[in-house]
Order: sequence, then structure tokens, then C-alpha cells
Amino acid sequence: MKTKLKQIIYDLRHQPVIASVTIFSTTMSIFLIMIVVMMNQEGTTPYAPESCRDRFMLGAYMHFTYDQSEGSGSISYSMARRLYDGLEGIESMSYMQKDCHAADVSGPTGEAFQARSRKADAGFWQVFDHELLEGRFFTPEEADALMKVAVITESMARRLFGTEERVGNTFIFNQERYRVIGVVADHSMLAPSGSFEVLIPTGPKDETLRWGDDWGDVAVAMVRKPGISAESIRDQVKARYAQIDTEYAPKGMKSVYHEQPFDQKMIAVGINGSNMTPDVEGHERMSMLLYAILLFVPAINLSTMLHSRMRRRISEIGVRRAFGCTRARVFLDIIVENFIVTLLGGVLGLVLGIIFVTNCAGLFETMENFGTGATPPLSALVDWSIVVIALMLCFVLNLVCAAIPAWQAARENPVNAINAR
Amino acid sequence: MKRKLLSQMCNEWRSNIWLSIELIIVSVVLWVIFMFLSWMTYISLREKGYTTDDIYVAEMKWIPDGANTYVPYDSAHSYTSDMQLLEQHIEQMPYVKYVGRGSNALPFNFNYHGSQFQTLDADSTSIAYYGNRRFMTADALRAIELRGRHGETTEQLIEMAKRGDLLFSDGDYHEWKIEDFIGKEVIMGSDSSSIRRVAAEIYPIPRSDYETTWGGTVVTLINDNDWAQQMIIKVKSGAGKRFEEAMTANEMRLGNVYLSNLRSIEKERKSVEIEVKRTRYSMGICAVFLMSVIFMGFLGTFWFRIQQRVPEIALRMVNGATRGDIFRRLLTEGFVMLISSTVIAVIIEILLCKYEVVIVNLVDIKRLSPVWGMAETFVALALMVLAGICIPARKAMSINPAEALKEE
Amino acid sequence: MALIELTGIRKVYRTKEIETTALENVNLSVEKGEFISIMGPSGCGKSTLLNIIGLLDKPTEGQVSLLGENCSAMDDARLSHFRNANLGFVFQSFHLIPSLNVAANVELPLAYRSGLSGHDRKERVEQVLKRLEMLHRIHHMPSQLSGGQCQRVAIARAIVGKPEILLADEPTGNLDSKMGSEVMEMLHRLNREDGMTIVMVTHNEAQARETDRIVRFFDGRIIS
Repeated sequence: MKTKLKQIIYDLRHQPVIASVTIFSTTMSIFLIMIVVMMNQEGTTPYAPESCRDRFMLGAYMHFTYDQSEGSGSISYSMARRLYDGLEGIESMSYMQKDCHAADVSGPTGEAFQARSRKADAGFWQVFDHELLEGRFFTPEEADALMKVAVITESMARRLFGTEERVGNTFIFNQERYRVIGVVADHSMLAPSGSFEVLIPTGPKDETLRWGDDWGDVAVAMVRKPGISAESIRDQVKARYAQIDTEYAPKGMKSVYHEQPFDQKMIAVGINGSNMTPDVEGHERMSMLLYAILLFVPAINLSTMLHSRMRRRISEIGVRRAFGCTRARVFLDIIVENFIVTLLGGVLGLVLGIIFVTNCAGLFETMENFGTGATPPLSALVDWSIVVIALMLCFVLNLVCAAIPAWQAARENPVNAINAR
Repeated sequence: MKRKLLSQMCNEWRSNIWLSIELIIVSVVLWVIFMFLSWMTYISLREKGYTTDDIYVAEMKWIPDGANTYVPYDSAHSYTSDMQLLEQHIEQMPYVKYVGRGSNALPFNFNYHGSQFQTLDADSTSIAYYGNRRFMTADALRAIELRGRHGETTEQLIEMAKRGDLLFSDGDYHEWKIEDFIGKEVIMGSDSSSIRRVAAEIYPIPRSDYETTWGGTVVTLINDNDWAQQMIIKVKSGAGKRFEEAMTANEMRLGNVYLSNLRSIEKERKSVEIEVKRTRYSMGICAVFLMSVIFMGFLGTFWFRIQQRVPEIALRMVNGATRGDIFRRLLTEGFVMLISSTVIAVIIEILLCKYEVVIVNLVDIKRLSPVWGMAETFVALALMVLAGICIPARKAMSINPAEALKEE
Repeated sequence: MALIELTGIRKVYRTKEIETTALENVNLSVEKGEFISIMGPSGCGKSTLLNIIGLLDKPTEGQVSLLGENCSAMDDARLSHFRNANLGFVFQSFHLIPSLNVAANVELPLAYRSGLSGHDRKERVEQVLKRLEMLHRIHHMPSQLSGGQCQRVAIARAIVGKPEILLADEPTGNLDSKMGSEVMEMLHRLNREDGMTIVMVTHNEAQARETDRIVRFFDGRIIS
């Protein structure tokens, strides 16, 4: 192995142009793919406060067709209850607002500013794991009574109260006075369902989230029990859609089912429209196409470069054959040797990718989460699976680009090979 | 000479084929990217026919009955009266030019109030108009200085709208002709009870400067006592900063109605641009990557080729070839490959357009010809091929024929 | 049974346009411990014959048997294995691998042999280099050696696997006469001391005369 490494280094040093083309192409390819992978990863890898992403589901929106037209939108508390309450196989659930909303806040420091606020019931604290730094979470009773209390984040507390007491102190929220009962740790605003700066309790009596019998601003966050499949939950929900259809048939209404409740993959792809199913497959197809372009186009270069390198060493291959190296061994040796070179470029690409992604919050900024906390936690981007993916990509890249040149070299007649210039 | 070049290229067919395949794939992908980037530039440079300069918006909110700061109403007052008073109050402030209200009225919010319209004489074969409905008061129309496509002034448009007429704009990616609707009476959806006239064609108001309108834009006037989602404030030119300072929390509330999140529309535009920029950057990075792949491919391949051809080149030099001849020969080799690959790529691109794959979702090719992208792609790749060949060619030209042949 | 036994060997090269006969009805047998030289003008088929004996090339017709084994029917893996175990090659232009140092070059045949530990291999390499007086150059790269030294390393590589047969294709062709005779001396020593069977292609009449037997070639046939 040591000899092999030495030989590779010698080989690369004596072909600087071809070596740099090889390593640069590999590095760029792996670098760009890993950025895309990590950006996709951010949407589905669990991190606090959404530590249960693999079992998380979100029920939101309703879509009806009428005789001639159709309507869709987010739903009221009572509709949410009809669709999602008491499902079997659910560990914890929360009725809450799907998105954060901008709210005007001001506190004793006098500064007035916009904060990201969300309303939720007490189940929120079971569904999402927020680290409580001070005080307590609100109780189901407080939520049902729509008490004017709030749980806020650490940095929000600092901005509102400065060095003053926080828990028990009050601030103005959308022209109303609220009392802080708890302070939680800062977290990434990229978590679409679990993040907030100010959390206000809500309950069935909250008129501000009700726009009609069916429509409102309520979504249902759920965590499945371990071992329960998303499909089994959807089957129950589908049955409830059917019930609603029978009941609404006289009004000429029929529901359109969009695979609710959504799982984390669908959320990551984006649930932007209330009248459409998140296109996970389409997104995956696009990603695959992108990976294929990023992987195979440079692979053509790499293959040509390897072919050139092997032509330069063809007489060496002939000599090796003379001294008893089999065709299969020639093939295998070239693949292994090239894998080492690919790995070199791959590691470089991966390291560059990690540095780039963790230092480039701009990649994750969207209009909704623009500003603080736009950088996802490192743990959401980089885990072992990333290294494994990078390694596998290197291997695929290596096989794709080395197979043909290696086969050609192995097939070469040893006599011609030895005497080739 | 040219024949010989071609037969020599045939002898190296293997690496030439690979390079050509690479060129074809990259050409097609680059074409898509360039078309998309050009399209974004094209729509951002289109004539707007409205302005967002010196405009502030704020969300209009109300304090619900039962809140601890709720002020109970007597019979003479209501949320509506509070709203009207607040509007009048702000109108009287210095620096303020117009105060209007609107729902889904301005760009940079991403709602789409889609509606479909049909002319009265529509039969089953006629194509319906659809567009994003924007509701605003007359003052909001004045604030954005909306103009008609055929020279109608803002005041003329307001006159038409006050009669209850609708204002339609043209759009992108649609099949109807705007001329079929202007001056006609239309019904919304299939509701034949309310008939309205389309009075004039206006400029479209897309959701952002970088987004197409898909369908058209439909402007509808709302009344003075209608509630709207946003207050739209036009300040005197250059007075924005002083206006912001004057708008204290006190000024933003009247009775149970208050304004939230007052911001200049310019700020909205910037936050929209973050996303647009990100898309542009990622597309741009992809393009640069693909171009560098081509550069690297030609660099490496020709480098190796020249190493192999040292004796041949030396022999040519001995037989009177100048350094320029050697360089031109290499360049011709590269460009024969580029041009033949481009021909194949263009055929693929034409097929993509014809069968409406990929590109039609990104670009309205009726408005921006696919030839633009093809030309941009060719120029970009030609530069890469040139750069990729130049470095090895310099090496080739510096071959000393005497030494090279002696080594042989 | 002779160590090398060629019967009715015919070798034809075909291209699109022409057919060239390189060897025509060649019969040759070499006994164990013999040192023979093959002579003849350029292009008469000497090297082709050597390649066929070395199992690097297959004859169009005829049978090759080495060490009593019929090699004509062997597949690639068995041929490779057989070459590795029983054959050593020395080339005119040395064909040392430029990216490997002397030790790694010499070790090459052992790399394709199983059952040898790294330590064993190192010992074998050092032994053989010591015998050829090249031990002091063990860590050098081929580019740092003179022609004669290169050929000595090449011989070391050829014999490190203790083959029965050594095939040398103009081993002194690229060397000056002093170095050439050193290399010849070495081959004779191997033949004498180890009883190695050597088949050498040469243009040098004097060197050929020192060997046990001269096989003369003309136009693909043995003429004496």
C-alpha cells in the first residue's frame, strides 16, 4: 500500500497538468454535490427543536370543490379537530399556527420591533423540544383560557428587557400587554414548524384563528409513536375526509385529499399551496438530475485524463503482465489506484463543502426566515451519513470514470504494451 | 491539409467522441441556465407602468373585543370609522402625499388571488382570461401612478374604475389574446349575475420584479368603507426618513384599529431579491462549473495530445510550418469539435422547445427567443475551448524541433 | 522431456490489408540448464519467438510446452500464474518502472505471488540485490541509475522469483561494451551457479559464441 501511494504521488507529480485537472474536477464535483446534499439534508435531519422529524407530521389546509368552482385554505380549530383529533398511533400533538407571523413588540427597554410569533396550545411543548432556561411553559388550562402570557427566546428577552427581570415582567405584543412566564434557548429559525421568538397560548375559543366554520389559521403538529407508519395515520385521516364528504354532499361540496398530514419530506420540499400535494418525487427527480450532471459531466473528463495517464504507463502495465499480473489484477489495481486519487479530491471537496455551507447563511435565507438564526446548526448538516454519501459518490465517480480506461489497459496485449512508447 | 486534419481527428476518435459528448451535454444544460438568467434579466428590464418609489405599507389590524386594551364602541363608531379616521389622520401628516388602502394590491407579497373571466359571447372553444386580482382605493392607484398601456393617465383609469369597470393587463405563458377582452363585457367564473366591462389595458403588476405575471393583472377599485389588508402611503419625494420618524406608535393607532409592521416597499423588494439572488447565484455557479469542466477537459486532453505529438509537430516545423500554423491547427481541431457538438445540441434544444420539456416552465419562449441562449452558450463555450487549448498550444509552439527529433 | 518444447509453431500477423508470417514451422527444444542464444537479422522473428516462449503471445498454430506442461490451452489467469512462477524477463531497454524505486521494482514479481510475508519479500529483494552488487542503490529511483545499473536491477527483478527459465531480449543492446560484458558475466554466473535455463536474443556474435548453443533464424525459420 505504501508503495502504491508513493507511486501515485510520483505519477501525479510528473503529470502536473493532468493531475491538477483530475483533482480539481473531482473536488469541484464532490464540493457542489455535497452542498446540494447538505442543503437538502437541512430540511429533513432532526435537530432541536424539531428532534422528532422522522416521526413528525403536519396537518394543514383543506381543499373543496363546489359545483363550478373550488376553494382551499387553512382550517379552523373545529375542522382541525374533526380531521386529526384522537388518531391512533399518535404520541403527542399540538394545535398551532403553521407559520410564524410578524408581530409588533416593545418592552421596558423602549425599543419597538418586529418579532416572529406563533400561537399554539400546550401540546406544543411535547411535540417540540425547547430548552427551558427560566420560568415554565404554559399549561393546557392557561391555553384554553387564552391567558395573556408568553414564552419567549433568550435573545428576545435580552432585547425586550435588557438586564431586568424577565419572568413575570410584561411587554406589549400587537398593542396588548402580555406577561412572560418562560424563556427558552435560542434556536434556528429554519425549523419551519417548531421555531418562534414569541409563543402565545391558543385554544378552541380563540376567535382570531377562526375565519368561519371550516376556515381559520390552525394546523396540527403530530409525532407518531415509534413503529407507526405515516400511511396508517393517513388512512385514518382519509376515512375522516370521506365522512366530511358525506356530510357536505348536500351543499355540493367535495373534498380534495392532498396526502395530509404531511411528513417532514413533504414539508422540506415546501407546502406552499393549500390546493396542491407537495411534489416530493418531482423534487427528488430534479435533485437526481442535478447530481447526475454534477457527477457524470466531470466524470467524462476524469475518464479521459485517466486514459491519458494509463497510456503513459502502458509499458509498465506490459512489464507487470510479463511478471505474472493477471488481467483482472491490472483492472483492479487501476480502479483501486484511481479510487485513492478520487478520494483525495473527494475529501477536499467535502471539507470545502462543509466550510462553505456552515459559513454561508445566505444559502438558507428565505423571505420568511431572513435575519437572525438563518444558519442551521452544524449538527443538522454534517453527520456520518454525509461522509458515507461523499464516500459512495467518490466510489461511483471512480467506477464510472475508471472502468473504461482500466478495461482497455487490462485488455492490451502485453507484447504491444511493453513496446509501446 | 484540412482533409488530413479530419483524418487525424478520426484517428483520435475516442477522446474526441468523449469531449464531444461532454460538449453536447454541457451545451444543453448551459442553454437552459442562460435562457433562465436572460429571462430574469428580460423581465426585470421590462417597462413597468407603475412605481413603488416613496411608498410605505403597513398591515391594518384590529384589537378584538375582550382584549385588555379594547375600547368599547358606541353606536356612532365602529372599526370602519376608526379605519377612516386613521387614514385621514395620516393623510394630514406632513410629508404624506396620498394614503390609500388595498388588498393584494402591491408587488412583493406572494399572494395570488386567481380569478377567471369570460366574455359574454364566449362559447365552448373560446379561451378564458385569468389573472391575479388586486384591490385598491383610488388613492392607492394614485400612489403607484398606474398607467394604461395605450397612454391612459392614472386619473382616466380611476374614472373608468369608479364606473365599476375592470382594468386588465396582458400576461406571460397564457393562450388568450388581451385584445379579445378590452372593451368587452365579462363575467367572473361562471357567475352570470354580475356583468362588468373591461375598460382599458394596464401594465401588469407582477409579484416581484423578477417574476412573470403568469396570467394577467386585474385591478378592481374598493370603496371607502371597505376593510383592506394594507394601508398604502405615498410620501413626498425624499421625505421617507422624516416620515418614518414622525410615525410613532401613538400615530399608528386609532381606537381599536392600528397599523403593524410599517415599512418602505423598498425593504420588501430587497428581501424578495435575496431569494432571487440565491437562485441566480446557484444557477451562475452551476454555469461556471460546467464551463470550467469544458476548459479542464480541453486543457487536459490537448496537453496529453501534444505530449504524444511532439515528434509530429517537430517534423512539421522542420518542414516549414510556422508557430502560427501549429496554433491554428490545434484551434481548428477544437472548433471543429465545438461546432459539430453545437449543431447536435441545437437540435436537442429545438426538440426540447417543441415538446415543451423543462424550458417552457422556466422561460416564456414566445417572448424571449431560444436563439439568445444558444448564442450565449456558443460564445461561452468558444471562450472555454480557446482558453483550454491556448495553454497546451503555447507548449507546442515552444517545441525545439532539433531537440525533439534527436530525442526520438 | 525437454524444459522448453516448441512444436510446429507458426505465427501470422493480420492487418486489414496484409498478412505477415513471422514464424513458420518452428521446432525447438531446450534442455534444463542450457544457455542458448538466438541470432538473426532484424525482423526475422526472434523476438516473436521469445514472446511465445515467454507466454506473452500465442502462436497461430503449434504447441508450446514448458516444464512438461502444455501451455497452449491455459487461460489468462493460469498463464499469468505460470509466468510468475517459472519465467523471468530481461528487456533491451530495461523497462524499469520509473515511478518505483529499486527495491519496489525488484519486488514486483513477488507482489503477484501469494504466501509471502512483507518481511520475506524484503529479505528476498535484499538478497538478490546484494548478489548483483546493487544493495547500496536499493532506495534510488531508476532515473538516478546508469544504464548498466538499470540492467542489473532488471536482472534482479527477473530472478527474484527464482524462475526456471530466464528470457533475455538483447540484454546488452542498449549498453556500452564494458557494461555489456558485465551483464553477460552475470547471466553466465546465474546459468552456472543456479542452473538457470537462459534463452537470449542477441545481435552480438561474440556473446553468442560464449553460450551453449546458437539458434540462427532467417525469415521466420530456423536455419541452423
